[in-house]
Amino acid sequence: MSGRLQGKVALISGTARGQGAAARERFVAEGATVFGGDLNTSTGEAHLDVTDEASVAAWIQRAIDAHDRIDILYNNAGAVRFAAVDDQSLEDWRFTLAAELDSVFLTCKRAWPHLKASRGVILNVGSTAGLTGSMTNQRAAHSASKGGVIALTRQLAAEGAPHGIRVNSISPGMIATPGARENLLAPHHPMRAIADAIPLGRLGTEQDVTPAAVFLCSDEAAYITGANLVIDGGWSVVLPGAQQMKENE
Amino acid sequence: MSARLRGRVIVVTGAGRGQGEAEVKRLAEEGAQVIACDLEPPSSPGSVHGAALDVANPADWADLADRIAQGFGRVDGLINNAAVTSRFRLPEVSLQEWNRVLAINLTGPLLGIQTLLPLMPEGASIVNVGSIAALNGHYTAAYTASKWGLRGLTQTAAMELGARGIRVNAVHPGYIDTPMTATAPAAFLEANLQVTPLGRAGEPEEVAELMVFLMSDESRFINGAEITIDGGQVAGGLATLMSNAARGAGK
Ligand SMILES: NC(=O)c1ccc[n+]([C@@H]2O[C@H](COP(=O)([O-])OP(=O)(O)OC[C@H]3O[C@@H](n4cnc5c(N)ncnc54)[C@H](O)[C@@H]3O)[C@@H](O)[C@H]2O)c1
Ligand SMILES: NC(=O)c1ccc[n+]([C@@H]2O[C@H](COP(=O)([O-])OP(=O)(O)OC[C@H]3O[C@@H](n4cnc5c(N)ncnc54)[C@H](O)[C@@H]3O)[C@@H](O)[C@H]2O)c1
Repeated sequence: MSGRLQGKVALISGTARGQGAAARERFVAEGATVFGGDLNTSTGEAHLDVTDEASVAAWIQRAIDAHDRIDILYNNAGAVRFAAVDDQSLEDWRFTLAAELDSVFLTCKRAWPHLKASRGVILNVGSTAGLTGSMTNQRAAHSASKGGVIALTRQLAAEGAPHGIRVNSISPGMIATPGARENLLAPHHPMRAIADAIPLGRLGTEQDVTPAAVFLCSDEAAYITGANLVIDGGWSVVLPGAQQMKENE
Repeated sequence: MSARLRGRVIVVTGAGRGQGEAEVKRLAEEGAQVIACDLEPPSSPGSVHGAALDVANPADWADLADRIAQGFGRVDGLINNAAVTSRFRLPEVSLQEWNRVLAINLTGPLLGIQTLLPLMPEGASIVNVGSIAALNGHYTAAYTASKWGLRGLTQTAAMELGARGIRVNAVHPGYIDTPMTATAPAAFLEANLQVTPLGRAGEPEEVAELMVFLMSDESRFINGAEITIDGGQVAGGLATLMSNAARGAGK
C-alpha cells in the first residue's frame, strides 16, 4: 500500500516528545522518510538546537548527506516561558522569541535552497495564542512569537510560490502534550478548566493534530499555500462566556 | 485502496458539476455512501445516490431527510456546496436578485443544517463552502454578502453544535476552474492569476482532497476553522502583484 507521503523526505524538529514524536510516527506510517531533531537527545534524536544557526545548518547538512533531498520541513519544536508582562524578564522574552520565531526563520532560511530544488513544502506551527488574547494565561512573548509565525508563513508563501514551495501553518489550541502538562495543564493552573470553554468539550491530543500535518504536507494540498489551519475544537471562534450564556438561557 | 470514509453517509449539495461533482467522486472512492444533490438529480454510479434538491426550498430538504432516514438512518457529513454567482455591482443589484442569491447561498445551508441535524450522530462533520470573497471586500455585492453571512452561520453553528460533538468548518476557495468561473470574462481569470502566488487556477479535484480530510475523523478536533484553498491569494496576492510589477519595471 502506498502512503500519502510516499517517498518524501521530511525534516521535523522537536521529535523527542509531544506533537513532534506523534508526527514522526504518523509520517513514517504514510511512507515518508523522517529526519527528526531535538535538543533532547535522550530518545536517540539527532541533536538540534533550533535557536542556533550553526546547529540548524549542521542538522540540515546531515539530512542532505543521508537522503540527498528535503521535501518537507515541519517546524514543530518550540519552548516557552510564561509571565505577566511586568514580571517577564527581557531574557525570558528573548528565550521565547528565539525558540518559537528565530527558530522558524533559521530552519526556513537554511532549508530554502533544498526546498527550491524539490519544490517542497513548509509547515509551521502557530497557535491560537497568535490569533487571540487570553485572560487565563499571561503569555505576551508567546502570543507575539506565534503571531509572528503566522505572519511569516504568509510572507514565505508569497516568496516561495514562484519556486513551487508551499508554506502553511497549523494553529493548535489546547493540546495535552508533555509540554503543556508542565505548564498550562499543571495542577492548580486555571487553564485546566478550559475544556468547558471549548465547543467540542475536550482538550486536544497529539493525534488530533498530526493528520492535519499529513494533509498539508501531502500533494493533496497542492493548491493550499499561506493558509493557517486552526485545530482547537472551536475554542477561538466563541466569545468568552458564549457557551455559559447559552446554558443559562 | 484506502477507505478513509468507509461507511459514512455524506450529503453534498450542488453535486451535478464543478467542485461538488469532483467531491462526490473522491468521497465515494474513499468508501462513503454519498447523497449527491442538485436541481436535476446527478447520476448514481456505485455508492453515489443522486437526489433532486433545491437548497432554497424547505420542502425539498424535508423530503430528502425522510428518504435518508429510511434508506440510511443517519447523516455523518454535509457539504453545503451549492451556490449561484451574481456579478451585479452595488448600484445595479435588484432586490429580487439580492433575495434570490441570499436564499440559495445563505438560507440554503441553514435549512440543510436544521433539517439534517436530527439525523446527525456525534462525530458528524459539516462544511460550508464560502469563498475568498468572504475574507475581503469583493465587487459582487449579493454574492459577497451571502458568503460573509455564511461565515457567521458557520461560527455560530461551530459553537452551538460543538456541544453535541458535531463539527462545522468553512472552506474558502480562490479561483477554481469550474463551470461557474468559466462564465466569467477572460480578464477575470487574468486578474486572478496576477494576484495568486502559485500563478495558476485550482482544480475541483484539489478542493475534493480537502473535503475528504474534513469529512474524516482525521480532522476530529477541527471546529469553526476557516480554511483557504486559493494558491496563496489571500496571504500574498497583493505582495505578488507589486513584486511582479516592480520586476517588470526593472527592479
Ligand atoms: N501543546 C499545546 O497546547 C500547543 C498549543 C499551540 C501550539 N503548540 C506548539 O506546538 C509545538 C509542539 O509543542 P508540544 O506541545 O508538542 O511541546 P513539547 O514541549 O511537548 O515538545 C516540544 C519539543 O521541542 C523540543 N525543543 C524545545 N526547544 C528546542 C530547541 N531549541 N531546539 C530543538 N528542539 C527543541 C523539546 O525538547 C521537545 O521535545 C510547539 O511549537 C508549540 O508551541 C502547542
Ligand atoms: N469556482 C470558483 O472559483 C469558486 C470560488 C469561490 C467559491 N466558490 C464556491 O464553491 C462552490 C461550488 O462552486 P462551483 O465553482 O463548483 O460552481 P458551479 O456553478 O460549477 O456548480 C454549482 C452547482 O450548484 C448547483 N446549484 C445552483 N443552485 C442550486 C440550488 N438552488 N439548489 C441545488 N443546487 C444548486 C448548480 O446546478 C451546479 O451544479 C459554490 O459555493 C461557490 O460559491 C467557487
